[in-house]
Amino acid sequence: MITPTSDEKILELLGAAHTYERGFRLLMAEYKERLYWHVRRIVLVHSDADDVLQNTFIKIYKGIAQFEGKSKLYTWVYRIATNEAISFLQSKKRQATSPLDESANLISARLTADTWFDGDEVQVRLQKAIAQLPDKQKLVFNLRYYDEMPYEEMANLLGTSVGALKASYHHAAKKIEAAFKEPD
Amino acid sequence: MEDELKNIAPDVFKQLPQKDSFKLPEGYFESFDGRVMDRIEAFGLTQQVPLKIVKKPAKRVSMGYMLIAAAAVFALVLAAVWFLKPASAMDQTTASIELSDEEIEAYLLENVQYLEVDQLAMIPEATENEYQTPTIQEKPPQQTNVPDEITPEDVEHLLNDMTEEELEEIL
Repeated sequence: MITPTSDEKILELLGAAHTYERGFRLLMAEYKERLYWHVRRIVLVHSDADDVLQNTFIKIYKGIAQFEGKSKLYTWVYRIATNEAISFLQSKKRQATSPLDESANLISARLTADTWFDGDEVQVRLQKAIAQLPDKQKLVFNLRYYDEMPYEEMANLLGTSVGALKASYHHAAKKIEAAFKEPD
Repeated sequence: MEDELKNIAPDVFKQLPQKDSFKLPEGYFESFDGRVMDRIEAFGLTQQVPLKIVKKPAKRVSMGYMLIAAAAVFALVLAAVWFLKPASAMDQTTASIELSDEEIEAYLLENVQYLEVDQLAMIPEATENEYQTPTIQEKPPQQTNVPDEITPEDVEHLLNDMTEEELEEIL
């Protein structure tokens, strides 16, 4: 469990050259699982999530001096992980040879081909629908539905008002519902 | 959470069996740290700038800004007092200077266009002579809320109510 004391300890260790690596390892231990699942739900495939997560922590290792303490430590690392995951998806889209390659069918194909996905057809449809949401709605839906995060905590994390988040979740759920009603 | 989704999208909710279909290799997280550190070493990133969180002092208005702002506010208040207070050119007339009636009349006739209405109203009623001037309806004095004097406490209160941006606008 991540506690304020853990963050204080991490920041203290990261504040000196001779304890920097210890602090970084403690940071990884605290946040890697939570960040992994956050990234995984964006990129879907385990091997992609692994790449993105490693890149995220390398960025954190290189850029920790840029953390100004204006937000919680988790908020800062979460934003780095989110940016890395979304950049990864955008990079995949650019590599696609045609618009059809990035369609829902490709997402479906990638999911069913992933050894580490054991969902049924309904789960595949759900992931296809989530993958086609705008980035912000996707984040909000995942945080609310999978992590069951309270809106107040989400507001601090994403820097958006509770009202806007509730509206975002509502729209996301409605779009997913509409996608489910379409023939597959 | 389930109630929320049930209310928004009941059709979706009915169909969803389990929440998580994402799996991962056994021992993935246990080996993760080592793989990251290996990559960091491979990139030659082992020497990094430690974290230094500098607590910024609370925003304060510098003394220079305060003095300039105080001067600007004082000047504005003085200007307001000056323009709103009835002109008092004729208030300065004193009884120490003795003038004849003819001299006063000549002065008034020469300078009538410069006199304010209430100053004209101060002039005693003309006697029956050829220089009698018609009476002019006196306007009531304007009411103002301008204090007679500005204290340092007033200036401090005014400054405390202003943001730094407002002060900069004044300056």
